[in-house]
Amino acid sequence: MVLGAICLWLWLPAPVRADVLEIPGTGACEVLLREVANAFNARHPEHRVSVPRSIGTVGGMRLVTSDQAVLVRVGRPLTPEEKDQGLTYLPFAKDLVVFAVGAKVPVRGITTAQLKAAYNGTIKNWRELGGPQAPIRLLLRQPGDASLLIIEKHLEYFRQIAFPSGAKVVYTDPDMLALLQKYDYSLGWLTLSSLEGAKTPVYPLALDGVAPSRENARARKYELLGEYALVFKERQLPRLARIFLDFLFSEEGRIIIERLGAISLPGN
Amino acid sequence: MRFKDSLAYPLIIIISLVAAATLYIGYSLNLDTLRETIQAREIDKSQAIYRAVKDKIDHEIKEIVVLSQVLKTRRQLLNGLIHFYRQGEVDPLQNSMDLIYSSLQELSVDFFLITDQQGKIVYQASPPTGREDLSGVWGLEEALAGKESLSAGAGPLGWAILSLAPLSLEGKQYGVLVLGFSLSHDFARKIAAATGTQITFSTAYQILASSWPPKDRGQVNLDRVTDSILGKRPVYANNSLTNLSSFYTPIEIVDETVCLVINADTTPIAELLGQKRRQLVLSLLAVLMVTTVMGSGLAIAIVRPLKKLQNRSLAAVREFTEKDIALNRWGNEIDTLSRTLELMLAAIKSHLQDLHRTQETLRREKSFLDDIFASIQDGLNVLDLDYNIIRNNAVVEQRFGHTQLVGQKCYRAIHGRDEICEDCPCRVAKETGKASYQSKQVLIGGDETWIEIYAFPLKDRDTGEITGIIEYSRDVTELKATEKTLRLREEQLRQAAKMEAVGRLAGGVAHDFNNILTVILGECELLLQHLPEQDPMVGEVRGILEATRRAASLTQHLLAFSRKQVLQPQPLDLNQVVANMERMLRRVLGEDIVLVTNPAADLGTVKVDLNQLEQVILNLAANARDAMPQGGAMTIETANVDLNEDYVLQHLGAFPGAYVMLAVSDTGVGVDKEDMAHIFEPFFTTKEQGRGTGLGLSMVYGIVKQSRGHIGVYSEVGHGTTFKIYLPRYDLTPQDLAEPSPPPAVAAGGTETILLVEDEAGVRDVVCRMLEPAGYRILPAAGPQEALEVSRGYQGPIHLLFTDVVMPGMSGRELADRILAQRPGLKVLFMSGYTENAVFHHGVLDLGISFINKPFKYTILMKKVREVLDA
Repeated sequence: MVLGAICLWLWLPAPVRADVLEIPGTGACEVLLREVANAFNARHPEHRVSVPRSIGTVGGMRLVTSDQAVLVRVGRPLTPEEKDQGLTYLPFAKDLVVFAVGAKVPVRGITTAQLKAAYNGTIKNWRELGGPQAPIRLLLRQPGDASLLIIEKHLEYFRQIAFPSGAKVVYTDPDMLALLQKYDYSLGWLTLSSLEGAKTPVYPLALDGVAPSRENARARKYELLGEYALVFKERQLPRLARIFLDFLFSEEGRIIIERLGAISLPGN
Repeated sequence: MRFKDSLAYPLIIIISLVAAATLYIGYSLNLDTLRETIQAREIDKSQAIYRAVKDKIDHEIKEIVVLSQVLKTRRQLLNGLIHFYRQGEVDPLQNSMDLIYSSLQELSVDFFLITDQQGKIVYQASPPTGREDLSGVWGLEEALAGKESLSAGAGPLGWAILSLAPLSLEGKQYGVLVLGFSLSHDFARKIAAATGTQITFSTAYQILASSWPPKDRGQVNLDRVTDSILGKRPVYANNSLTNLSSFYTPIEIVDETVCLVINADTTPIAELLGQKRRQLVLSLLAVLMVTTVMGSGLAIAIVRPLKKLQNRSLAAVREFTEKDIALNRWGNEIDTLSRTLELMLAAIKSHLQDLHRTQETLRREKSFLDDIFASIQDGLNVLDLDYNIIRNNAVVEQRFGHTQLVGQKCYRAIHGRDEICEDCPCRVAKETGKASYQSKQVLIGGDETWIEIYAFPLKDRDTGEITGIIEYSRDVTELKATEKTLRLREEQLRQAAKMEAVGRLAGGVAHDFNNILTVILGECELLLQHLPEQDPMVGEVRGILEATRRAASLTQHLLAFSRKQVLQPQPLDLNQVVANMERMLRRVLGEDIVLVTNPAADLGTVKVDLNQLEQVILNLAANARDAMPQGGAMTIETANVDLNEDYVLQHLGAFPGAYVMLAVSDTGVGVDKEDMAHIFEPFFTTKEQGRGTGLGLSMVYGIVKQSRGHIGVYSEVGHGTTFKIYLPRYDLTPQDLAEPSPPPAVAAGGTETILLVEDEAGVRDVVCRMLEPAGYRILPAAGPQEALEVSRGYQGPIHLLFTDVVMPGMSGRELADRILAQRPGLKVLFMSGYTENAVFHHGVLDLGISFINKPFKYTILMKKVREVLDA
């Protein structure tokens, strides 16, 4: 019996410290959630909520299903297989996926046709898009990325597009933002909250004349909208996580979310 | 039992299986450990390769950066470039660049280029790139804008790591120096050759460079590439089918994160594992065999004693339950043992239950016997053959005042003797084998106690052998006393019966005698009436009269004794009666005897016939006188007495209640016990012949009894005798006490008509001859029927019915009632020698009934007739 107890103790994952909560997962809402976490930590100095660097939705799901994390961030809905594992999917915000350009690109709007031409290499120079004489530096996300999935959902050609070999593949919004800042003539996409939270000269493009704003999103004019959610196992959710969730869905949390350009969702 | 049924079989199998499982687990663990060790080693090796690759790339990046820094300020290069710009001649630039480039041969610089400010290639080291401009190279625009940059990524030069340094002189930029190296398949192959692995650089979309031949580049899993890059962690996988291990690790190259995939051939490892596996299997089999053999030995060692135990338990079961158990039905030895144990337990349980029941029965029986012992209200001892008390009940202890009798000799414990009593019934019972009885008087606690002892031999029911003695003792002191009392009562009863019989005889004789005396007396009186006074026969007639009167007195005495005379009770004060008789009594007693009276104050009233009471006192006085020939004292004492139940039980014929006692005591010779039983019998006398009729005390007895009293006598020879007469006490007032009636006077005759009914002819005749001369008209009848006819037929008035009481066919009372019905107002006078009839209640006249006792004197007859007629 003692041996069994020891084995059980060894087998069970180490409990997370009650006063520290890590929320790993997607980079899509990394900036957003980190802002909220910082505000929470300022309000509750006895606790500490951290939002580590992105390991993607896949990485987050792996941790929560193996009980290595009690609360993870995801940028896509659960698959049927993931739902069968008793996971709770709690959306807390919607965010716009925006196409953005480097600092030296004065283009402020792009059409979906132009996007397609740029990303399939037909259009190689900003001059063709009303910009300067400079090659378009394409920045991509990896296959299966949440924002790419949203783009593919609304811009069907993206599903079949063969990206030029010269395009850089970026794996997180912060990396995308970094490269958009590094390469003046780059074109990439990321979430509006990551963009607005960073305060950079990288500029979001209007798509087909529709500026990427919360209002246009709420009015369903701007359709590239992704949902952020927290995923957890209800029975294993510690008290700190519950307190954080309360804060996330509080007035203060919603203000932070909205301030970063995302649309806050009411909690269940 | 077959081997398969034996415990050894499963034991051996279990031991073998356990051994096999243990070995297999050990084998698996061993192999797993080996595999993990090998895997860990492979991972470590891959990590090392990764670090080497990373170091190399970093080193080469550093080289080109440093080189850029150095070269961008090289005058020679700058002059050449300026000359090109101004003169349009590229040779000076070419020569200086070639010179520089030749010094860089030892470095891994694949690209050594200079572009103009439009990005067009002005110089490129050999071999040429085949390109005219570097548009598409990441960072070129920034470099052309004067920003040094380091870029990595796909472009016109392939996937290259480039350092782009603006070439400026005196504030004017003339072009960009591009130095770099390619992340090419050759690069990958070099690394692969150096490490003995296959190296691949890949993004999530495509393989950038690989040492794999193109056809084998499918070994790289792009999902694992993404997973590794996204998770920022290595991912290890081993394909045991292809013996190829894959190590995916992200590697950052400038601003790009690619995945370094290191594939290693694990065939040697697989062969090693296979070899190990074979070794382990062989070891396992060997150990298994050894274990099986050892296990068999162990199983046999365990089973053999179990078998013995099994056989023994089967035998025990057969012995306990008388059942023959079939062995092979029950499986192995443990099963058999278990079954036999169950049966044994069941048998033991059954025996225990029987034992409990028996114990319970014995306990109840013992309790019952104890209860019997304790309930017996007499003494009960059980002795052994040595007369030791082995059991006794509490009565014995209480009777003799001893406790802890058990273990003691009965004769010592109970009787205080050192040896057995001579006449001990227990010894008799023991020696004769029969029950023995003894009744004796013993002293217990200073009291004389009668004890009955029954001794029974205690015999074994099966063998008949005497094993002890049962002594049953009963305190019969009360019984004896009761017997004595009973005997006394019986004696008294006999005496009373005798007296009763004598009385009946006397009464019967007296009655008949009375009739005769009535005739004699009547005839003599009539004769005297007719004889002249001087006739010599007068004296004879008077003599006959006197004798007749004496005979009549005797009959009266007999009647009194038989309680058949007629009494006329009246309320009397005994003290007064005694006082009135004092003078007479002194005359009767004479001068030598002192009379003492002791009247009680507030003496109660009695209702007795005065004449009879006086007769009683006189008789007792005469008796006392005769008992004191030399003189003495006679005491008459009265008192109020209540006779209780105790007295009544002691004295037959007495009844409890309130009495007045008249005690007459003398100091005479007394009466001995023998004579005491007879003193009230008629004709019994202790006096000399002729000194008494022997009827005095019997008369006293008869009168007292007829008066519903009781007489007791106490006497001591030589000391005197006391007669105590108890008469019922009545609560009457002094006014109720009447003066004794004066003696009757001779009544005159009359002329009334008298119906005379008497069945005795002589009496009828003499009464007629008495009454007719007195002037009465007599209508004689010989019996009731005749009287009725006479009454019916006689026309004139009948004034008096003078009838006998006892007549054949009808009583006088009944006759009177019938004639009275015919003749209301008729007066009635009864005569009889008997008083035993419904009219007369124990000889006491009912109020209103006139009666004359036979024999009657002429004067008494005349007076009575006149009295009745005049009433």
